[in-house]
Amino acid sequence: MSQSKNSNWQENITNKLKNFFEAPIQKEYNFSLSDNQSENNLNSFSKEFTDEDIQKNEKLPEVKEIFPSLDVSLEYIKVKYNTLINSDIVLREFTLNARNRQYKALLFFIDGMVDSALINDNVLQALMLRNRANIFDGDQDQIVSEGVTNNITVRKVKKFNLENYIFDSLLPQNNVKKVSTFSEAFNSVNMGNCLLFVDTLQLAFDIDVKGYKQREVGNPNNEIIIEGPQEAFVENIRTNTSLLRRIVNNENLIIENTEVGKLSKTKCAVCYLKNIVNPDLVAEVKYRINNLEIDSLLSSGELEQLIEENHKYSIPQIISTERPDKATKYLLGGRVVVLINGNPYCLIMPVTFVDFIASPEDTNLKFQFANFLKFLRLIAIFITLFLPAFYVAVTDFHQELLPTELLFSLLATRESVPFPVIAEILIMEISFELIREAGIRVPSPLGSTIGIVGGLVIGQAAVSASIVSPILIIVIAITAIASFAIPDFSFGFHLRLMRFIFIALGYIAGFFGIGLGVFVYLCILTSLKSFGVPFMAPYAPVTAINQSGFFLEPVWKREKRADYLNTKREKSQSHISMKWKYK
Amino acid sequence: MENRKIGNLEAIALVLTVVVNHIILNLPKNIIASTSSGAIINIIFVSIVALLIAYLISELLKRFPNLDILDIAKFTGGKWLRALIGILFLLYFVFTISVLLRSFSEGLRIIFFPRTPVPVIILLFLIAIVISNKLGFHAICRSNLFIMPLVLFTLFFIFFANIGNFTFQGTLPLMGEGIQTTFFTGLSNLFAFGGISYLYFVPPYLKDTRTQRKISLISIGTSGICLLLSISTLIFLSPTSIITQEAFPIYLAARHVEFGRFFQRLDPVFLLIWIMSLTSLLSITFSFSTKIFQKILNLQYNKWLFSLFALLVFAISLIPNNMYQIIFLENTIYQYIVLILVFGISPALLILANLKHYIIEKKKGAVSVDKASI
Repeated sequence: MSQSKNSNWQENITNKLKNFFEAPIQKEYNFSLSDNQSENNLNSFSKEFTDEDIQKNEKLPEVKEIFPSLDVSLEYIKVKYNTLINSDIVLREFTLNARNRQYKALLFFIDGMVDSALINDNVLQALMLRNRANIFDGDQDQIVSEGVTNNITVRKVKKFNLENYIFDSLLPQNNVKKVSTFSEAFNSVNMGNCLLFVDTLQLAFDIDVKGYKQREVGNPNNEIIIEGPQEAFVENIRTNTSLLRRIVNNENLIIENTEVGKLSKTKCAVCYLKNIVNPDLVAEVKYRINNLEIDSLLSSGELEQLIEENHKYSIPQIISTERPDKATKYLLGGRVVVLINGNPYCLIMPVTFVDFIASPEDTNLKFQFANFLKFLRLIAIFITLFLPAFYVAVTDFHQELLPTELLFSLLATRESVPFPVIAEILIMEISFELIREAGIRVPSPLGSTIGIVGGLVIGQAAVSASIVSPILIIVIAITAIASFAIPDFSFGFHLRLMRFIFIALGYIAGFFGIGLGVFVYLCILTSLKSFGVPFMAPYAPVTAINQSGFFLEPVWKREKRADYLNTKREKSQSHISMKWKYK
Repeated sequence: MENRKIGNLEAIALVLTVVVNHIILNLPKNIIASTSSGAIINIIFVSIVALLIAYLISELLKRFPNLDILDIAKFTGGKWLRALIGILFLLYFVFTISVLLRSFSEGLRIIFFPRTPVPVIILLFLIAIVISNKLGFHAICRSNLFIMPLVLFTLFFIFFANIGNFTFQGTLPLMGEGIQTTFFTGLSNLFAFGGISYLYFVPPYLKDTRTQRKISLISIGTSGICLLLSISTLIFLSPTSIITQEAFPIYLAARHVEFGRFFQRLDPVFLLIWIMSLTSLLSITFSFSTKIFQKILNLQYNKWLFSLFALLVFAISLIPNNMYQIIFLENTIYQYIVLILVFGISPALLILANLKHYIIEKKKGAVSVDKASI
């Protein structure tokens, strides 16, 4: 006994000491996603599941038609929308008064997507309250017209029909549709409408009461111009279509809706001018959009990648713009514009190389100013693509190009730099790209600071530390400035990438490498097509330039639409447009 | 053959590119060497003859719209004649690519890369040629459309910028080594217009075959002007100093141009343009040779054909041991091949085909021959 007491005492002391000095052993929190194969003990998980498989798995049979029984429909909706865990789904059951009779009814909508005042005033009030039109007996026939001839009263009556009665008399809302399938009904609810189910009716009333918060039409952020409209697209597709319709102002503007994405069912609008556009082009655009087997579509950038012809090269083949005026200009020229719900950018197709160098401002300016700017942009493209590559080629291979004095000063500035030219230029190019990327990502008040610190301080410090030569800083700075003069973001990005390839070619074989690179690049450009239109048109292949040339003609000479589009209406204005001057 | 067609300007540039690239290489040097100071008169005479031949060829091809010379050979003498003509042209094209490639690469090595082995330069060219061929014949023709004006500009620029350096003693005596050399022996300089060979293969690619005569005459006429301009430049400059050097004579002429203080010399920029132009010519010729090969063997797919042909060209271009062999191949052998095949066999074949067509027409009353009837 005494021994056991002693041992207990010792254990207690030991434990107390241990507890005092040692931290309690904690189980490490470790979360990992379950391995599909082990979890389900099935190799079959690796195979693709279709929607039907998933439905079967969840023991939820797919139902097409709406049930006549309200209770069954209600249960189905509850299961489909997981109302037990979904907090924003509203199912409002009430009693509907119609011709002195009462029916069970259900209003189904998603909170936050509807305008509550509209539902209260134009739906619930109208359906629940008794009014003068509603006091008749349910069995009475509705008198449509009444006339007396030879003391005989002739009445034209209509048999009472609840469905028509609700639709015609009880829903004072401007946009109401009848839907008979659950898929249609759910699509509408997901878009912000509300559904009215009435017991005994095998349909639902789809009432437009959208009221979600959305951004106001504002100024363009990325395509800024001085002279011209200052409106930009927003996220809501209907607002965007209205912006287009307002500017085009013609009944021939067709806006066809289509849905992309099996899950997201993103609404897209294919817009074109019926009396101008080539019908084959519209058919091709719709064909490509309607044949996308994807779960979701979240942006115009995704759609652009999904419908463009060639994916091997970084050259964009569709223009993306946030400006309705630019989109309209292309619509009137015979192109197709695609709007995507939830995205403040639209896609314009087909496009050519020349379109990527055009700014929406060009046509607003006098043609001399616009052509001067276009010429500057051409120089900017040349500098962005080739200046660093030429610098590498000249310093490594073709020093004879430079006058002796300039060559001496160049060599003198490079004397203290320990790196070869290629390392020097890559350091600076990558640093600049980093500064550019950081400038976009940091909060806007810090953006300018990044530019100053990156551009001025680091550049100066790099020269002082003899990491790079001052002439190289000039080359990189000019290249950077030139790259900002390219109006299209995607095309500018493409040129930035190509610059690195030409730098490498210039380093490998000087002008010889650059020459081969330019030839292959030209071949790539001329082989590309955007929706059947050669990318380098109207120059290769040579077609009538009309309005599609690089340089703009005076506004009174812009008589014809682009030849390569084969539009229905070739002429966009009369031969003599200024009738007031030349009759 | 591909479905895509080429326009008139593309076709003109295609024929022009052959002559212009030979001008950049050693063609003017060769002509001056054979006719000395009578080169200017000789080239005017040869250009007129070439124009007449081009006119004759376009007239002979008129009865066979959309057919190339291989189809015409099949019509004339069956598939064996087609195979024979196909093999001859295939050998001519492969020989042309290989010799031009080697010659230009040697020239580049002398000018820019004295420490780089020639096979590396040839390999870089071939990579560009294979990539461009994979992008399609129409893409090369369209690219050529951008390059050709630049090349023509360089030739004109070199002429006009050198006017200050011209001495006109080089033109005397006007008839060079006599009338015999200038007009009769010198007629062999017709080989300078080897671009006519492309006229035999262009018809199936033309959007409008009725414009073939226009294409022939404009391209040969412009080629003649370019040739005249470049030969004049060399003769008006001191010709002996240029002819005796190994580098390209027009490049050496470009080095005489002075640009003031901002640029010391612009000849590397000219060379950059000429590199693009030569790659374009090589790609076009390469494309024709693979198409002939496909046509002879009835091959439907060409996945590995370009790479295999590139290896073949690479191997052939390395056969000559030295610069003299290359110059001999480029000037003498090329000259005879062009004269025999392009100005001899092919027009003869066209005349025979026209005769056969005439006889058939007389017998059956057929109006025209097209692909379906062959």
